Order: sequence, then C-alpha cells, then structure tokens
Amino acid sequence: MGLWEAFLNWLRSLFFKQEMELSLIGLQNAGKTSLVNVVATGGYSEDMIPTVGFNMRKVTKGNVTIKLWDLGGQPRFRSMWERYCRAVSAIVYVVDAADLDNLSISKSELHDLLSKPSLHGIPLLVLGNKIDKPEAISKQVLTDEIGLKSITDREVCCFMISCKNSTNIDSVIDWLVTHSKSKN
Amino acid sequence: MSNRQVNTDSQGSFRRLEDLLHQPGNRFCADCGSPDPKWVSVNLGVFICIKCSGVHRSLGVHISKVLSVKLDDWTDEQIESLEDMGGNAASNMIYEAHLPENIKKPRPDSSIEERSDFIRRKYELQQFLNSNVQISTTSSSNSFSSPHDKKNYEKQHNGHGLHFLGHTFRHSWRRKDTEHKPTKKSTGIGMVEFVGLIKVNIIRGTNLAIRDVMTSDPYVILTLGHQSMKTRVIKRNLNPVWNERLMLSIPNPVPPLKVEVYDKDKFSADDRMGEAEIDIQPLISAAKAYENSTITESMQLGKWLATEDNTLVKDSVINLVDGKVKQEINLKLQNVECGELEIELECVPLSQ
Repeated sequence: MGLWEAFLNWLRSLFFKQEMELSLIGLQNAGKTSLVNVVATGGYSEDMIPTVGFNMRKVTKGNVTIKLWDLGGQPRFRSMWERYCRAVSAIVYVVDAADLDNLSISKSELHDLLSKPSLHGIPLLVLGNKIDKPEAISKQVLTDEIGLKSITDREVCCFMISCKNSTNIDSVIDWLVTHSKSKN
Repeated sequence: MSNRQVNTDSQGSFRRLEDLLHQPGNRFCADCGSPDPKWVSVNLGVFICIKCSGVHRSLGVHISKVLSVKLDDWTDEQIESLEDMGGNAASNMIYEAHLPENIKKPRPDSSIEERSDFIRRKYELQQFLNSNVQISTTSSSNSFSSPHDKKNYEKQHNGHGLHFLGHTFRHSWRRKDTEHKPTKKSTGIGMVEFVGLIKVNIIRGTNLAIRDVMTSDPYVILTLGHQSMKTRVIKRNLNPVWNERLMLSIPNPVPPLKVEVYDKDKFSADDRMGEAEIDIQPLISAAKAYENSTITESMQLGKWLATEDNTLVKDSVINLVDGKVKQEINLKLQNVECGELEIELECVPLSQ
C-alpha cells in the first residue's frame, strides 16, 4: 500500500509540479521589490534600495515554483521590460496608488508595453500598492486612470494591496498560482 | 553589436546634470557622506547615495521625490530647479542649520536604522532647521508634466522566446586533457540552434573536499546541453586557482550549465567532489536586453538573488563591463561535504 501511495504521489507530482515565470514591472518606487519580498518571505522592509536592472528570484509555493523577474522601474530600464516579459505566464504591473502625479506615465508605459506583439495575450495583473497611505486612490479610480477597460486582448485583473500591511497579498498569490496552472 | 541611437537633446541636459554632479559639494551624499552619489531628491535639491535614496523613497513622494542621475529621464525644468536650489551645500545650510551636538550624521557604513532616523528628522520632521522656519516640501511644481519621451529606437525581434522548461541533457564529455574547445557530439543530434556563446572563467575553488589521504587533485568539468569541457588538474590543492577560460555554445532551449568537480586518480576512477547547476537564463536575457538598449557605460544589469534553496553563496551580479555582459558567481557545491567555486561568466549573444 505504501508503495502504491508513493507511486500515486509520483504520478501526481508529474502533473501538478508547475513552473512558471513572472515579470514584475511598474514605475520606480511602485513597490515591486517589496512585493517580491512579501510574497517570498512574508517580510516587509521600509527602505528598499532601488533595483538596478533586475533581480531574479525563485519562489516555491506548494507545487508551484515561480521564477520572478523583478525589473527596475527607472526610464533607463523600461526599454528592457519587453525582453523579460516574452516567456512569462503573467505580467504583474505594480502602481503606486498614492503617487497621483505619476499615474499618467504609469498608464502610458503600461499601454506601450502591452502593444508589443511578442506579449500578445499574456494575462495581466495590475496591483495598486500602498493603500495604507491616506492619499491612495480607490480601485475604481485606478482602473479608470490606468485605462484598464480598454485592454481587451487578454485577461486583466486588478487588486488594491499594501505590501506594508500585507493587505490582499493572499489574493495575489492565489491569482498567480491559478495562472501558473492554466499555462501548462 | 547593435545600433544605439543617442538622443542629442537629452545629451545636453545630461551634461548639465553631470556638471552639477561634479560640483564639489555634490560629490558626497548629502546625508551620509558616501562618495559619488548618483541619486537626487528633486524637490529637496540634494545628491544622495543609493542607500539613503532608499530611505528617501520610503518617506513618500510628498516629502522626497527621488530620481537617478543616470537612469531617469530628466526634464529641463527639473534640471533648472535643481541648479537653482544650489546643491548639497545650500540645502544642508537649510536642513542642517542647527544640527545639535548630540546628533551625529550617518556615515557611509551606517546601518539603515541610523540613516532612516537621521533622514526622517532632517527632512520629514525638519528638526534641524533655522529657528521656526518650516519648509513645505509638497512638490506642487511637479516636474513630471512633460511626457516621457518615446523610445524611438528599433527593437530587434529575433523570434526566440527563450522558453526554458525542464530540458534533459546527457553528459558526453571526452576525457582528453588538452581539449579546450567545445566538443560537440556529432552523432545523434539534429539541428541545434545556438543563441550565443558563453565564456566561462573557472577562477578558483575554496575549501574543497578531501578525496586522497590529506588533499585532492581537483579539476572541473563543465556541461551545457551536449557539450562538455574540462579544466586542467591542479595537484594536491584544496584551494586551487585555475583561472581557466572555457567557451561553449548556448543551445536553444537553454539548458542549465552544469559544473562538476572531480579528484584525479591515476589507478582508479576519478572521485566526485561536488557539483552545481547554474541557470544561465538571467545572463542571456541581460545580454539580449542590453543589446537592444541605449546603455553604453559600465553598470549593473541585474542580479540573481541568493536564497536558501539555491546554490549561491551570495547574490550573483550581472554587470556590463566595457561592453561585455559578465556575471560573477560563487557556488556552494552540492552533494559533497564542503567546497565552494568561484566562476565568472560572459555571454556573447548571436545577433540575427
């Protein structure tokens, strides 16, 4: 019986062991690296130094191994985003929901990226981060400001989160795990 | 390698920014004194180091708006306002006008906590200002009004979607000591598509396992897909320095680079001294992304983070050095009692 169970487990692992790649993008200081840290270790640090280029990190959640490309948000690096998004199962776009001045740039960078033919159809998860701050806008306002309704060539989902207070991080992980399965 | 166009307009602005950067007062971080700060709080008008910039960013944009001298696009307006503010010397005259004696400025090696405490007091709480002046730091003249300039350079799409899933591969090295070229196994493999070349410098091993009585005669075998190469044997040394450069072609899909250390024995089969696998995809992606970018000066392109479940001793950094994309790796050897390996990789992508 033990042997049979082991055999079944082995069979299961063949079918359920998932590997996925994800790219995290967004303007500088949106909270991409903080999100990776919260997802990977549960820890939040107030002072993240800016990401230079990218940080690649592998995170294992249950049967799913997620290879995370956490990309630098400075304009210098934005031309590289597309390159790191080509083979991914999903694109996660992080927006500082408390930085109203940059919403329009955030919008145009997102739509620029999604217009690349190589990224056609890749699911998009938009995260409005820093909702712990008083200036943060609502999901409705963010959806309008970023123009999410106009994206029709792919699956789009939006959550409002706070890496600092771990608000809605579970929903993010659930969404990611679900989308790693749909790929294979 | 690829055509990089430089926007002459932004070139002029960049020069002005560089001039500001080279003013004596701006050569050290306004907060901790680290040399050569490359970050700026636009509304506070100070040049700061990357560590302090982390603290500034955490304050929120209503207190400090951080831009990078090298990595951000600057508007003329922003540069002008920065020139007007007079740099670190002028700003510190205001924000550190009355620095109490018991308050020490952070130093370049200060902890994040010390830095954070000081920077908050200085700018957020404004505790060191002259008399009762309060400065409103809300950046209403917000400088991001001009649209971010569109990338006008062509991107080369070469169709390889760098799919990287489990890829089976075999060892197929030939044990020939003099061999220093990729030994492509010519039988049984159809068309193999190559995406580039990888140059591997096996620098050194440290604290390797003992396989003979007191020591070992270590050498390294590299395997990428169907190709294998090996280094020379260094006799009786647990901390061997090979400094040996080997070159392999990178097939598509990209397999992991396998590194194995062996102890050379005369009369019996060579003993294993540990192994490790390197995911070379970050390096290749960085090299390809750089190829299509406007970056020309040496800088960091990316980092593969060391975590508990991988073989890295520390974060492995991918740098652009004199136009070459290189990665430094320190590996913990696996399936062995001890031993680390220091390796440097360089990727030369094949342009279409």
